[in-house]
Amino acid sequence: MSPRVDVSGPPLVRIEGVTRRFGPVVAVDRVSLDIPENAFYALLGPSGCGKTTLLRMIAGFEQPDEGRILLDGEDMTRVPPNRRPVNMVFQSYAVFPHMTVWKNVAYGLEVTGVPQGEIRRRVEEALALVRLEGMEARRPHQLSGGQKQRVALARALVKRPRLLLLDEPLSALDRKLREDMQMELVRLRHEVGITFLLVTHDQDEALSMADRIAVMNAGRVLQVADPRTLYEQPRTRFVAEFIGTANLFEGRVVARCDGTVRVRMEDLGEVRLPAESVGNGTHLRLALRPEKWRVDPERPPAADLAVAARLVEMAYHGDTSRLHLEAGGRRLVAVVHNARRGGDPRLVPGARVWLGLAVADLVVLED
Amino acid sequence: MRAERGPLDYARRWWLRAWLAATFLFLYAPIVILVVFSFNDSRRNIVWRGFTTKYYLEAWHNDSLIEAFTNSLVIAVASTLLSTVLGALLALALWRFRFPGKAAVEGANALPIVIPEICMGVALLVFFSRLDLMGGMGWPWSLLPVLIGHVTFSFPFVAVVVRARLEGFDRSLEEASRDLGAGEWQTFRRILVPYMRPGLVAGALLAMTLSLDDFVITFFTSGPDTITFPVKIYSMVRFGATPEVNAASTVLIAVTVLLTVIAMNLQRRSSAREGMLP
Ligand SMILES: Nc1ncnc2c1ncn2[C@@H]1O[C@H](COP(=O)(O)OP(=O)(O)OP(=O)(O)O)[C@@H](O)[C@H]1O
Ligand SMILES: [Mg+2]
Repeated sequence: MSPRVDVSGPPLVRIEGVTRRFGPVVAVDRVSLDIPENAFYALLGPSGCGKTTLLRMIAGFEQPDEGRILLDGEDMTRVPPNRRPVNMVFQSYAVFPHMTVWKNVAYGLEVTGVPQGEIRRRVEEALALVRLEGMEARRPHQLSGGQKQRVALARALVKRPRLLLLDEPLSALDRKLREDMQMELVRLRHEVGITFLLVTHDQDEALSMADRIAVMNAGRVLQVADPRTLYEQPRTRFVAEFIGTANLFEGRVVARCDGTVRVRMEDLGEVRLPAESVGNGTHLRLALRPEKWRVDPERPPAADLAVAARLVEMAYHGDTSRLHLEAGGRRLVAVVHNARRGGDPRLVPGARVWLGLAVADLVVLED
Repeated sequence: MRAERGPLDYARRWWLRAWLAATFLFLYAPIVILVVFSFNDSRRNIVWRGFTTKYYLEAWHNDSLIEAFTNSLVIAVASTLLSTVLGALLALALWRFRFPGKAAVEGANALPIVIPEICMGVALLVFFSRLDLMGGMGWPWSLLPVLIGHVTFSFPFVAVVVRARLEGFDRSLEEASRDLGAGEWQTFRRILVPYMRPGLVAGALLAMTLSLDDFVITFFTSGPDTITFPVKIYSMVRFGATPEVNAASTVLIAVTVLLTVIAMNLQRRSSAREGMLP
C-alpha cells in the first residue's frame, strides 16, 4: 500500500451512476466510483462483467447511456478520446506494426506537434523507463510478447497522462514473465507518479499490485476496498468466493445476552459472536478463510469451536497443502502451510482430524 | 517395397513432368514466338531469316501506331489513378460503415466484374451517344468516354482487393492512435493508409493491366477518330501479322512485365517490414 495515496482529497476520476447497455445486455449498471490521485486502482471481476466497457468509457471509446465521468472535476463525457489526458495499454498491445519501436513511442508526441528536440528526449526517457534501450530500430515482429508490452507501456507513459488505463495487460504473458511485469509495473508507478487503473480478472494480480480494488460482477460494483480488507472482510458471498476461497456457513441466532449473540451454525455447533443488532431467529451467512482453520490430530483446547472431521483429499501446492475435509455431512476446505519438510505425516487421506476456529476470524456476510 | 514419397517427389513422375511441360508450352510458346519473330528479318512471319531491329524502328516511325500507344498509356495512367482512389474509398466505406442498403451496394459493386464485356461496351456506347460525348471533342477530351469506360470496369477490382486487405486490420490500432492524441485524419493517413498500401499497389497494378489491354469496351466507346493500342493492333492484323505488330506487342509486354516486377518488389518490401514474410 502506497502511503502517497490521498483518499481524502478530491478524486482524480469520479464516475457517477454510469450505465452502458448493448441491446438487452446491461454491460455496466449504475456504477459510481472515485479513483483517488496517485492510486494503483484495480477493477477486478469475472469475464464479461463489464470491466473493459467501463475502461473504454473512461478512455472515450464508448459513451455512457446514463451518468457522467469527471476527470479533475471536469465532465469528460463528450470529450473525444484524443483530447483526454488519459492513455490506455491495450490487451492486444496494439503496437503499430509498420513502425519501429522508436516511432511507436514517438507517435503520440508527433501527432500533437511536440518539438523534435523534446520528442527525442522524452522518447529516450520512456524507453529507459521500460528498459528497452538499444531496441529503438526494431520492428514489432522482432519483439517478444513482453517486449511489445513494454513498447505499449512506453508509448502511453511518454504522453505523461493523468491516468493510465491498463486492460488485462499481462494476461497474454507466461507466468514467470507475468510476475516480473507485475513488479515492473509497481516500480514504474512509483517512478512516474501517475495514477494507474488496472483491469484484471486475476485476483492474485489485483491483491499483490493494487492499493485499491473495486470488485465487479454483472455490471455492478460490489465492494471497493484495499486488498487486505477485501480478503479479510468480504461484504458479500460473491466477493468472499471470488477472492480466494471461503468456507460458507448458514447460521441462526438462538440467544442474545449482554452484547453477544449465540449463533448455531448448521451441523457444526454454536459460537458466540460479538454484539450484532440482530434479533433472535435471524439467519446469518458466515464465511471463514481456509487458512484460518487450525488443523490438529488432537482436539484443540483453545479453539472457540472445534469440529471433528475426516480428511478426504489433499492437494499439494509446494508451499501449502489444500485439505478437503468432511464434517457433519458437509465439505470443508482448509489450507496448511508446509513449514516443515515433508509436511505433517499424520495428514493422510482418511485420517480423523480436528478443525479449530477462532470467532474473530469469522466474517458475517451481508447476503 | 517402395520408399515413401515426399511431397516434391511427385514432380519426378514422368507424366507429371510431361503435363507441366505441355502447360508451359501452350502458355508461353506463342509469346516467345511473338517476341522472337519481332527480330526476324523477313516480311513474312514464317521462317527465320536473321536478326534485325528494323521493325522496331518502323513501328517507332508509324505515327498512327505511336498515337494509339500514347492514347493507351494516357488512358491507362488516368484510369489507374481514378480507379485506385474510387476503389479504395468504396472498400473503406464498405469496411467501415453500416448503412441501409449496404448489401445492395456490395452486390452492385460486383456487377461490372461479372457482366459480359460486350454488354458493358454496348451499354456505354448507347449511354455516351445520348450524352453526345462520342466525337466532336479535341484531344485529350476525346479520350474521356474510353477513360470513363475503363474506370467503370476497373475500380470494382480495386475495391475487392483493398477490401480483402482491410479485413485483416486490427481495429485496436485505430483506437490506440486516437488514444495517443491523433485525430481522425491523422489516424487515417498514418495508420490506415500504410496498412492498406499493399492492397493499393496490387489494385493499381490490376487496374493498369486491365486498362492497357482492354479491347472490347474500348472498341465500342472510342469515337471515330480515337484509337488505342489494342484496337490499332487489331486493325493492323487484319491485313496480316507483320513483324511490326510483333515489335509493338513486345514493347507492351515489356512495359507490363516491368510494372509487375516493380509492384511485386514494393509489395515484398512492405510485407517484410511487417514480418509477414521471412
Ligand atoms: N460492442 C459490444 N456489443 C455488444 N455487446 C457488448 C459489446 N461490448 C461488450 N458487450 C457485452 O457487454 C458485457 C461486458 O463486456 P466487457 O467486455 O466489458 O467484459 P469484461 O469484464 O471486460 O470481460 P473480459 O474479462 O472477458 O474481458 C458482455 O456481456 C459483452 O458481451
Ligand atoms: Mg475485457
